[in-house]
Amino acid sequence: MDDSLLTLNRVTKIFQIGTFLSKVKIYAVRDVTLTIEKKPMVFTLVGESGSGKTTLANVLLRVVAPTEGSVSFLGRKIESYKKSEFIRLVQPVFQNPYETFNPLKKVELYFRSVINKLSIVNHNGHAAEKIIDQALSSVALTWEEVRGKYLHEFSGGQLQRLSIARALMVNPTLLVADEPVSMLDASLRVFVLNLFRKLKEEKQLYVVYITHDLATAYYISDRIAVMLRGSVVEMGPAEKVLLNPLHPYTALLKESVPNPYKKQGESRFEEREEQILEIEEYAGEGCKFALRCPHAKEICRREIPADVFLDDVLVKCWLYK
Amino acid sequence: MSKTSLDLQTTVHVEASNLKAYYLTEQQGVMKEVKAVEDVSFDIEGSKFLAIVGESGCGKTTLAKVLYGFVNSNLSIIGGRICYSFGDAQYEVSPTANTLKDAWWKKISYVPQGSLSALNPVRKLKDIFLDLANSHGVPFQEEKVKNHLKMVKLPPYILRMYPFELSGGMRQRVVIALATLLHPSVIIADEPTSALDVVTQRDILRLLKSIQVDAKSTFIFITHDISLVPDLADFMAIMYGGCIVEYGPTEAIFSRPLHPYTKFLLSTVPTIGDKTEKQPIPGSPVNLIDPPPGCRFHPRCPYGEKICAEQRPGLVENKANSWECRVACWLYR
Repeated sequence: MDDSLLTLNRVTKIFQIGTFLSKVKIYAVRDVTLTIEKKPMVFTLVGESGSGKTTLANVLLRVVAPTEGSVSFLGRKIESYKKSEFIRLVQPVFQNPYETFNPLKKVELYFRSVINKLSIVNHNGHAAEKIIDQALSSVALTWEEVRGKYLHEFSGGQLQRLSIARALMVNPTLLVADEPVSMLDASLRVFVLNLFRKLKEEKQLYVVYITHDLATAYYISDRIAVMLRGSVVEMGPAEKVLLNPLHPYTALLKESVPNPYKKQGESRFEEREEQILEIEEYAGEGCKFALRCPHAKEICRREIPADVFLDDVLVKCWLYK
Repeated sequence: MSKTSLDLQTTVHVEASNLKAYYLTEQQGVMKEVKAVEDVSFDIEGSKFLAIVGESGCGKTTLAKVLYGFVNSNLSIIGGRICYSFGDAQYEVSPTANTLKDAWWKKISYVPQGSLSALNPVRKLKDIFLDLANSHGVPFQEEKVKNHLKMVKLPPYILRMYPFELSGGMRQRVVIALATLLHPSVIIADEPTSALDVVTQRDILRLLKSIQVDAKSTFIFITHDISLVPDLADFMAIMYGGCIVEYGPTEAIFSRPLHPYTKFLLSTVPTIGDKTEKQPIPGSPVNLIDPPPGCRFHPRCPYGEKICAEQRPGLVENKANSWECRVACWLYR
C-alpha cells in the first residue's frame, strides 16, 4: 500500500431517488477499484454526463461518504485525517468559477482566510500579501489585479485561475479538478491545461482531472480511467487507451470528439431510433452500455463483465474474454 | 411538408448591413455603452448553414439576439439593418423598425443555450407544445406532435413528463422540436450544445444538420468551439470584439486561415494524437466598453503595425485566395 498515493478499494455510492412508494436505488459509483501510484501524474476520469465521475471526485474530496468500500490516501484511510490536515493535502477546483466565489465578498477575502485559518502568517500583514502575490503569479495574475475587487469584476477565465491559485496556496499534494476547463474559451483552456502540466513537473503535483473531453484528456493525462454509469470500464496509460480504445464505449467517446481536420465519416455507432432515459441504463443488469453497443450480445444484458487485463490496460467488456 | 412551402423556402434571403448594437450600462454613476456588435455585414441566401464563431464576450450572443429581433430597452440597435425576405413577406430590424416579431416561431425561430431554463418547470411537456400551438393559431394535434417528436428521436411518452425528468440532451431535443414545430425557414441556434457532453453534443449536432438538410432551412449557428464547425457549416464568420474579422466558406478558412486571430483560434484546438504544447493567445480579451482604437485585435496581434492602432480595417474581399473570403486585416491590403 505504501507505494501508492491514492487507493480506492471497491468504492460504491448509492443514491436513492423517488418517494416512499417508488424508491429507486441509483449506483452513482459502483465497485470502483483504482490506484494512483507515487509518481507525479495527471490521472484523468473521463465519461459522459451521468457517468459518476463527479460523485467519485466528491468521494475523493471527502464531500460524499461512500456507501461501501474505502479510500486511502498516502497509506491512511481518508476518514482518519483531521480536516485541517486533509485540506492541506487535497484541494478542489470546480467547474463553474462563478459559483466558486461568493458574489457579495471580495475575492481577496478567500485568499486572506486561507492564510488566516491555516495560520500561515498574520492575516493583515504585508507578509500575507506577499504570499498571495506568489500564489497569484503561478497563474499569471498579480495582487494589483485582484485587490479590492468583487466577483463580477473578473472574467470567467480570471476567476478560474483565481480558484486554482487559491487551491495552490496550501501547497497541496493532490488537486481534484472537476471539469476545470469546460467553461473556458479555447485560449484560456490551453493556458489552464499548460498550467497543470507545469505544476506536475515543477511542483510534483498530482492532478485528478475530470472531463468529458477526450482531446484535452489526451493533451495532459498520464493515466486515464473511463467511467460508464458508475463503473470504470477501461483504465490504463492515457496514450494507449486513447489511441487504441478497447471498450466500445471508449471508442464512442473518442469518435464523438470533434476534430476540425478530419471529416467525420460513417459512424460505427448508429443513433437509436428513440432516445433512452438514463434511468433505463442504470437499471440494466449487465453491462450498462449494452443498450447502445453495436456488439451487444445476450450475455452483455445479463451479466456485468469481469475485469480483463490486456498488457497494462484494464477492460471490462465481454468482447475480451 | 407541402410543396408550396418548399418553394418559398428556397428564396429565403437574410441580409445584415453595417449592423451596430450597443448595450447601455451604468458604471460608477456614468452611463456607458458596451459596443457589442460593430459594423456587422453578411448575407445568406437559400438553404445555407452559417456558423458564427468567437470567444466569450465577443458579442456573438448579442448578434444572435439582434438577428432574432430580440431587442429591449437595454440593448438598442444604433445603426445598420437586417432584412429577411421569405419570398412572400419581408421583415426588418433596424433602429427605427422591428417587424420581425410577427414572424417568430412561424418563419424564424431560436434555439437557446440553456434548455432547462427555456422550458417551464411546472408544466408538462404536452402543455408546453399546446401553448405554442394555441398562441400561434395552429390547431394542436397530438398525433402530429408525436410524429414530430419522432423526427428528433424522442419517445412519445415524454409528453406526459415534466422537463426536469429528462436528461440535458433530451431537453435540448425538446427545445429543438418546439423550434421546428411550425416549420420555420430560418433557425438561429445560440450555443445549443455547450452544456452537453461530447456524445450528446455529437448527436444533437447531427440532428440539427439533418433538419437543415431535410427542411432546406437556413441555419445560423453560434458557437465558441471552432472544432464543431467543419462537419456542419457551409460558411463561417469569425467574430472578435464585436466585429466580424473573417468570413468565408468553412473549407477555405480551415485550409487557409487569413486573419491572425483565426490562426490563433485554430492552433489552440487540442486533438487526440497530438501532444505538442499549444500556446494560448497572448493578452486578454477586449473590453467592449472601451475598445482599443483601430483594429480591436491589435494589442494582442504579433503582426501589429502602426496603421492597425489607428484605423479599423473593413471586411474586404481577399483577392489572393481563389475562394470568396473576406478578411478585416491590414496585412491583406
